[in-house]
Amino acid sequence: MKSLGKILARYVLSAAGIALALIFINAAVFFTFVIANAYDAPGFDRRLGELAASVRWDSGRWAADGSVLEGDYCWAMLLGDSGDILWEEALPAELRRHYTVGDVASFTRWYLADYPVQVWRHDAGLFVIAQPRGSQWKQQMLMSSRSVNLLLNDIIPAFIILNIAAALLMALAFGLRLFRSVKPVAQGISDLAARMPVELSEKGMLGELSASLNRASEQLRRQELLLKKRDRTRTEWIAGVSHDIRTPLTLVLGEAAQLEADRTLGEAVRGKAGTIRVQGERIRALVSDLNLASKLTYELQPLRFQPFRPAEMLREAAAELLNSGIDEAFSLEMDIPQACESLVLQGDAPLIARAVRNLVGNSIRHNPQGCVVTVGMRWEGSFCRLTVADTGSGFPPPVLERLRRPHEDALPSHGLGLAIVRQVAAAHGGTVYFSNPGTGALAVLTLPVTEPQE
Amino acid sequence: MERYELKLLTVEDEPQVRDMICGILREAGYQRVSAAGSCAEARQAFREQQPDCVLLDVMLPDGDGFELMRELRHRRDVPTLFLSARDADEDRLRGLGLGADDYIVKPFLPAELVLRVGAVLKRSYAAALSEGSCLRLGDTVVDWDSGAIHGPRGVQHLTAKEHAILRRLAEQRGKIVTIDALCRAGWGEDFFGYENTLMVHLRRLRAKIEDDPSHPKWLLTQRGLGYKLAREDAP
Repeated sequence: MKSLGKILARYVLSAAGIALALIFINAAVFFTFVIANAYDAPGFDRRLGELAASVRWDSGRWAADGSVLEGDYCWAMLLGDSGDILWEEALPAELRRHYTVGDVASFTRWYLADYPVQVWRHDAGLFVIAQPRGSQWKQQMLMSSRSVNLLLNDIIPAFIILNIAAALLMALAFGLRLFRSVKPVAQGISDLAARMPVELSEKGMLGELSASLNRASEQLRRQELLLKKRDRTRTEWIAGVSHDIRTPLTLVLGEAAQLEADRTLGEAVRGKAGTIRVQGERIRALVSDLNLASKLTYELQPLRFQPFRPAEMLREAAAELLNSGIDEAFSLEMDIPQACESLVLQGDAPLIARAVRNLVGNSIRHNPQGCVVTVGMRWEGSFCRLTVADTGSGFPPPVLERLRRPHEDALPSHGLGLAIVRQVAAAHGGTVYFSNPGTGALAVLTLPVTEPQE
Repeated sequence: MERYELKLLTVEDEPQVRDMICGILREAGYQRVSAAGSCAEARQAFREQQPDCVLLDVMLPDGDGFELMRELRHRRDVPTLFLSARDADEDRLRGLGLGADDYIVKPFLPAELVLRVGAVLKRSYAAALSEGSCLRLGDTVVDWDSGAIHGPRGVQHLTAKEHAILRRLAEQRGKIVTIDALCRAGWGEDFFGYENTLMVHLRRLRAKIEDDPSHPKWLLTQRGLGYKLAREDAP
């Protein structure tokens, strides 16, 4: 949600920026318009002086050079200092022919019989020119210097600051509202990424967005189910095949073992029966490995996490191997320091035991000439290392290279037993590392220590 | 009574496997072995033969072994072993959860089957069987009921802990029993930390049952792992 906070801050700042920019743009447009139009207004007509000057004393009377009524001017007159009309053009008949000082003051400021008029100082008096009734609006502005100063120094800056503050506040309010409605959507998106089901309310500002998210989640869930189903089918298929192999294999193993034990048969025949029995046992191990590996690959093996003592588990696994009878050419040593005895881990102990047995079995299978296998453990803070080392010929380089390649997802064509070791380690948040440290092979299964230790 | 006089019933639909199992059991010395190929046949045989132990396949043509066990047990409580080609943990746990005495996954080796059937019978009929009441160690005989050791050096007695530990070793005679399992036998689930005490008890045990305790013949040490009670035939 950190990014949402950042988005909100940026949103508020940009909103305030926009408000500020609007104030300046508006002010600029307003002043430009006023200035441009003020020069256009007849009250400021620069031609007025020329028009007035065109009324001159000529041959004993006042006369203009032609008509002064250009543009929309409808009549004009020249008032003498006494208030009488010295000259006029198109003066409407209803207007008076004499004006007092009071009249002059009034129409200069306002209107003459509703005609908007403008005046210009003339040598002989006052030049008055009118526009049609209702065509102009006259407004005078009167302000004290104090007010003007106040306006320029205090009110306008305060107005701008208040505007910015208002813009910020409103942006913040709207932003928070947006934030509130975006928050579940953002949560939904991160849930979606984490493959969790998303079910948002489809009301409010972002209802449509929420609805699409819900749909996307539904779609993903369906797809995942489909994939799961396919994985399950595959695993069940493998389980079915291994089940079907088991019944004939029971007969192969059983009969071969009985022949092997039959003392009425010759040594050679019993030896051959022994070979069938040994190979049958290998098929049995393979079938069971295949089954487990497919379940672990598709995460269909239910893991039963429980606290267990790895030292005890290792002894159990080793005893089980020895009790099942391994060839005399092999010897199994334990290397468990006293300090490791009390260590308790969280995990599926039978699965980890199986991984250890697989490692020992691997050492035995690949060193037919015999060797010493050492099962050990070390406890280093938050990690526990279970080790299986042998004094045999070590991993062949190509096998070692393949074993070290990380994320071998698919079931490998050989070395199912070691693939299971890797899967078991991964299922416990651990790793497995294979190497040839001088003599023989070494496998290190590193598991995290999560239980608080006493 | 001899263990081999007990009546065994094998329920398995695959005729060849059924014959083989019966053959293995007869070979091992069991004289009264009968067989059934379906739930119906099993019910009839159960009624007529009154078997002392039943070996059940989980998948039968006319029903499921779990159900059949429940039904048979309802009539008479007999030790039951499952023989199944399914190795899923759920099946195993379901079988054992229902009170089965063992769950054997196919394929199995004949020796494995014989051992596990034997173990179940020993456990279930310990009181009735003559063999279960004492332990033979060459010239020395341990009487479990009294805890007395009759040997060349006269009669000695086992302490309670020694009894529990030796009993545990005898249950898996010829096999390695881990230190942890022995401690558990002696001190229960909270056994951790008793390794040194265990060693003391084992030393005393050796003094009682071995001719030469510094060169033990019966109670053998498997360094770093546990102990083993040697079999009589292969000391």
